[in-house]
Amino acid sequence: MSTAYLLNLLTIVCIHLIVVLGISVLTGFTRLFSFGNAGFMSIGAYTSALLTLRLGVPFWPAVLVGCLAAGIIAYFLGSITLKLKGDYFLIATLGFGECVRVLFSYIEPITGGAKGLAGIPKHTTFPVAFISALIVLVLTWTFIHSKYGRSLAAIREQEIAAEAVGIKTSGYKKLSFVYSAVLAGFAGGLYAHSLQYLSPDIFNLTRSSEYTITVVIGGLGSITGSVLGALLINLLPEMFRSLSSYRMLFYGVAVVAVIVLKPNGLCGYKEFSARKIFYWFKNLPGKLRKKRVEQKVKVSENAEKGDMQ
Amino acid sequence: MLLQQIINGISIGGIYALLASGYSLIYSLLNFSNWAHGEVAMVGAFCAFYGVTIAQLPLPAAAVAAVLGAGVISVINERFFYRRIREKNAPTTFMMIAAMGISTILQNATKNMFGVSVKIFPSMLPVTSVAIGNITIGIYDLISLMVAAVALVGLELLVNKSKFGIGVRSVACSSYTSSLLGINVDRILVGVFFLAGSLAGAAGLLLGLKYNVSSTMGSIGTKAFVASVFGGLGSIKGAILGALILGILETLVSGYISSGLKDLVTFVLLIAILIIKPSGLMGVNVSEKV
Amino acid sequence: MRNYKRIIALGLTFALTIAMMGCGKEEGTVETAKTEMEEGKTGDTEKSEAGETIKIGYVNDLTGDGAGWGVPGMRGAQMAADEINANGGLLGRQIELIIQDGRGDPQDSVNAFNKLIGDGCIAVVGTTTSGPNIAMAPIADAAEIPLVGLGCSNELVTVDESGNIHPYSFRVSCIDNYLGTALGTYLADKGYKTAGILINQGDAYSVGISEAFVKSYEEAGGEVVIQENAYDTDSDFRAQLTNIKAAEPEVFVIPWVYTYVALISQQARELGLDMQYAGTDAWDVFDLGTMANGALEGAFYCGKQTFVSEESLAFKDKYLAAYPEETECGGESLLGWDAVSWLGKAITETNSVVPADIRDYLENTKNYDGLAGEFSVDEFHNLKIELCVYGIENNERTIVDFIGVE
Repeated sequence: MSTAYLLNLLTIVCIHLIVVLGISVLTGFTRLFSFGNAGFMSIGAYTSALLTLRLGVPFWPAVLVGCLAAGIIAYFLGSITLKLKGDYFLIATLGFGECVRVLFSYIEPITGGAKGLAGIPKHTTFPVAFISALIVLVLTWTFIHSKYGRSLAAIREQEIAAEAVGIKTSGYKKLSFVYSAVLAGFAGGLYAHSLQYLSPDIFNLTRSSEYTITVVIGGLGSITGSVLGALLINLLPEMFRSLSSYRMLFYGVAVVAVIVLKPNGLCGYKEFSARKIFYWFKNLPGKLRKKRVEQKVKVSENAEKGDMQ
Repeated sequence: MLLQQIINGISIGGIYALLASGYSLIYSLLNFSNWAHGEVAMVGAFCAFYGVTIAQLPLPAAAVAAVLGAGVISVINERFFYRRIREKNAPTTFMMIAAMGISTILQNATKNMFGVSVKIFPSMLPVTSVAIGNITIGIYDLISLMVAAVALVGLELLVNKSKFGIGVRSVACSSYTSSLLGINVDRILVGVFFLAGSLAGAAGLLLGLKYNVSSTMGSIGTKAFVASVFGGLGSIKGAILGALILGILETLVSGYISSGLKDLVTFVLLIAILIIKPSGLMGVNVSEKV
Repeated sequence: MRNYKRIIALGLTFALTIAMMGCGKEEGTVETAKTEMEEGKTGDTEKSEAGETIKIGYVNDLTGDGAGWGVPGMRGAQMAADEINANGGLLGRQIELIIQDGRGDPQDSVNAFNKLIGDGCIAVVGTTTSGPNIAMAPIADAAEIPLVGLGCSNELVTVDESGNIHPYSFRVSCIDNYLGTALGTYLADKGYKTAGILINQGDAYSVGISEAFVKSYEEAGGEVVIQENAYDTDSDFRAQLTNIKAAEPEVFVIPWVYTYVALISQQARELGLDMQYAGTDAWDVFDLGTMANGALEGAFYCGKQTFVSEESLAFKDKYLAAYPEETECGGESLLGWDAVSWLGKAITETNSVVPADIRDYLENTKNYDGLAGEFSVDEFHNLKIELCVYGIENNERTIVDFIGVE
């Protein structure tokens, strides 16, 4: 296996992880299901690619503009659709994702349409992707463990009660939606400058649903779970290349199994915590000692009984 | 010309209506969107296709195969998956996720078993069309319209006039109270899923005859969802109306603007309707207050 | 403050996982740990030592929608490799064909390509669709490994957006532009004064051919009276077909993939479109006539020569004998064979397994006799090749005419 292959693969994993973290906040922590995140990724990708390719804008400003574009569109879309019920919101986001795809295919003179946009300069090397993913991870972790995150959890659990306590649900939902869109746009910009080629079909409904599936399997409400899910879903297909035709089937089975048997996913509400693992090790000798003492007591009891008879 | 386009639109709308009505039925009882509905239709189409090509069944028997096959799959979904989730009192979004998973499973299982190639029904009826003045209606379109009309009228009668229908309507109102009154809610649900499934199977067969059969044809389920939302989730009549409107709208946009933009127009219109009348055209459910 | 410990811990876990993946799979290679942007990967040639097999890679859609091309292509390539090995191999060494599935997705194909390069392939064959090849072309240039595509007919595969050529990217079929131009001139010469065309805006192939067709047809004196757009996600084309019927062209051009052509032509016949139907090489499957239930009777299409020459018919018999589970020999197998044989010839003619030498030979090929016809490579790595015009009579494919090289 060559280093080029491995580095490229890990770059892709980092990029997908960024999107998944956004969806984790949106779906896992705010319980809003969206099938349109590939659309935001597409917006970020095309905006940044067109800026670097056609206008010679440097890499980071172009990606930032891509994020901004995705975020602004999300803000307006969210204002309109977030007050709809869950299922309506879902179909609205789904429609949005498809519309972006169709629109980008239609405005061929600008985006290259079905022929695609080729020759995008390669700026996303592995260090770039890895550090971006790490920063986003830290950012998301901080966000979730702040008062904003706690408000989202409150909205998720019992929306009316949250409203009653004074949390402005519409504002927080919008925040969550925009956050996920910005991350998706960021990842899209990185993706475009890694693959160096874009075509509207890359960001389709299957991709959107794959991200949601990742979060569900990893665990709704757990960042660790989302990270694990992203690693699994992107690395497993490469490790089992011979079974690739069964990949989607496996995802479907995994989703149904998880949601029926263990709806909290692989990690549930739990998060990775160094302290918990440390304490588990520390307590282990104590637990073992307790077991040995119990056994000794049992043996001596049996012996006494035997003696008495 | 315009009339021809409208006729085209109505015939595709009829098929959407078959799917949307089943979808709406399930929604009105369980309050969840059955994403696997499109794939149920696909299963029906496959049953009919292999009935015709392998078992050499004539068309009516193949139709029965489609309806039964799809109905059975629908009931299996309910019995083994949705019911388990309901029994745990999980939120309805979990059932929706399960439906997503089931749709992926069905799609890919069919793909792995029968290959990705598109399957075309052998010519079962002469490829003629009826010409009325300037307008031509293909034979499969006529059949679609007739089947859709009969099925939907039958559905309305069943829901409104039969004992089963009373049970359905009461469960739609409140399943808890219905069970208190002695209605076997589980049995009603099985019946409803079978009914919805068989309607989907009929739609799948018609789609297969008109176009072709493939493992990805289930994506038409999204259209059914959009149609139901247009007409208002929870109302069967609304779903039918929404489906017809959707069919006509799509055809007109394809013909007069560009078929690339038909999804865009549909989507924009959908958002507009939901903003103006959040419960859809004929809907009964109110949007949440945010 | 406690939170930072957790963050660091999580980050470390992440890094550890990645490191473990790297350590576990690394086999000592000659390459350095730089990204593929760095040039000068002449380390590859050290792998191909005398006595070892010569590794040639194959990447294509082995699963997914394009498997109908990817799998026959793979078989054709394998048959060519077996034949070369049976005749003593190349330069005294046997060839080994290493196969990976690109799934028709640009990113997956890039991963597969990187894997093949890492496995020591000195050249790679594939794919059939243009998207993956466009994505792989810059990597082929950077790694200096020749990439020979099969049916990927988009110009961007060999030439980038600014008009610069990708030195290491080739293909064994002609580009959309070439095909569309040929069809346009042919129809005009045959006396069809007006034409209507239905374009698949979701497929670069269709768009590319249509643009070239319109240009050459009008230059040759024809008039395109109507152009309608549709998408391959549609299943109902009657809105557009109604418009085309109203414009009354003498010939109706349908540059779509065969599955849609069957559908479109049936709907067109139902609506009463009786004019001549014409198409391009994506129509080329033997049972298209049956698939269309007779709607394509009398239609014709142009494309590369598949199973026209004696040698290709002999190949077909060999193919069906070697793979008895197949009922039909897909045309892409000819391209798979041609690609591997072409590389084989390059290696023997240059007497070298250095990728750069192979590349030079490929670029300067003139009049190479392939199973899919004789071709020459031009300065943009595009082929000049003789095309064939096929007709459909009684649901069977017939050969109507030839379109020579201009």
